[in-house]
Amino acid sequence: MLTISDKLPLEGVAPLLCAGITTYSPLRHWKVGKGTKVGVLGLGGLGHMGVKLAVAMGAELTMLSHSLSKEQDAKRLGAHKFVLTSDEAQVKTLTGYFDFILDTVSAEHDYNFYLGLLRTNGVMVCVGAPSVPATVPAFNLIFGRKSIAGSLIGGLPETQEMLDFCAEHNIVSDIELIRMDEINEAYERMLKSDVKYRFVIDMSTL
Amino acid sequence: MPATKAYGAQSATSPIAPLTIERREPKTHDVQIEIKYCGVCHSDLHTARNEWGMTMYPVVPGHEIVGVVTAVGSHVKKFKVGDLAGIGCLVDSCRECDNCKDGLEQYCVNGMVGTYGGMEKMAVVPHTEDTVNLYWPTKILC
Repeated sequence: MLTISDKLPLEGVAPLLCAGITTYSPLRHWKVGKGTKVGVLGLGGLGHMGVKLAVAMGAELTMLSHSLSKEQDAKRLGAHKFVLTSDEAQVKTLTGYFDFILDTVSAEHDYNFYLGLLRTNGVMVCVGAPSVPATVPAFNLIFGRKSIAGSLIGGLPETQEMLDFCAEHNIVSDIELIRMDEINEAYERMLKSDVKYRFVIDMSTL
Repeated sequence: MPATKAYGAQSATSPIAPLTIERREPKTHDVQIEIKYCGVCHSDLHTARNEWGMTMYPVVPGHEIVGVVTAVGSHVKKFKVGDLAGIGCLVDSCRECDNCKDGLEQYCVNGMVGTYGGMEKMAVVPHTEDTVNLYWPTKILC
C-alpha cells in the first residue's frame, strides 16, 4: 500500500499511480534537474505529467508537438517553449540541443528525427510503445554517443517518493471525472485522444 | 466472503458491464480499502480487449487506485481506518532477485505482477511491514 497525502485532491492523485510514476522514474534515473534541457514529445496522459514533473525538478522544458492546438495548454502546464515539429526552421534551431527527450508517443514516428535534436551524450527515453518497430541506423547513435532507452513504471519505493514529491510541489493530473457507467464511452474517446488529460472514475457512482 | 460490486469485461469483444466479485475477509496482514477514484489508462483498454494476449476473463481493469482504509488486520501498523491509501501499477514480485532487493520490482527477473481490479467498490490487499520496503501490497484479484 502507498500512503497518500491529504493535501491534494484525491481524484487528481489517482493517475499519478501510473502516468505519474511512468514519467517520474526516467526523469529521476537520468538525473534531470535544474537547467537540464528537456524535450517532451507528445501531450497526452503521460506527456502532461512529464511536463509538470520535469518543470518541478527545475528543467528547462520544451514541448515538441505536431499540433499547434497544444501550444496554449503546454505553456499552461509549465512548458517554457513550444516547438511545432513540422516547422523546419524552428526545429533546425534545436539541432543538438536537448540533454534528454521524453518520448510519450505511441503512434508510429521516426526516432531519427528526434535523435538529431540530442546533444552529445543525450538520451531519448521511450515510454510510449508504437506497435511498429523503429529503424535506427547505428551512425545516428555513434556520432554524438547518443542513446535510446526505455523505462517501465517504477518500483514501490520510488512510487512513494513520487507521491511525496507531488504533494510537496502541489502536482496532480489534469482530469475529467466520469461516472462508472460512462466507461465504455471514455474508452472510445481515449482512442481518439479526446481527453485532457486523464479520465478518472468517481467510484461512488458504482 | 463478502461480495463487492465491480465493472468488468467478460470477453475481448464485450463492453465493460456490471458484475459482482468476491473479496476475502481481511486477515492479520491485510488492509481493506473502499476505492474512491480509479484512473483510466490506455493499458486498461489493451487489457479489456486482450490486445496483449494475456487477459483472463472476466477481468476488472483499473490500476490507478486511491481510496480510504476501512479495515486493517491486527498486524498492520502503518495504516489505520480512515487513512488515505493508494495501489499502484504493480502488486507483487518475487521479492528475492537483485532488482526486487534494490526496490526495482518493476524489473523483477521472475516477473512482477501487475495490478488490475480498480473498477470495484472494495479491495483487500496484504500489507507486510517487516520487509525491506514498506509498501508491499500483493495481487488484489486472487
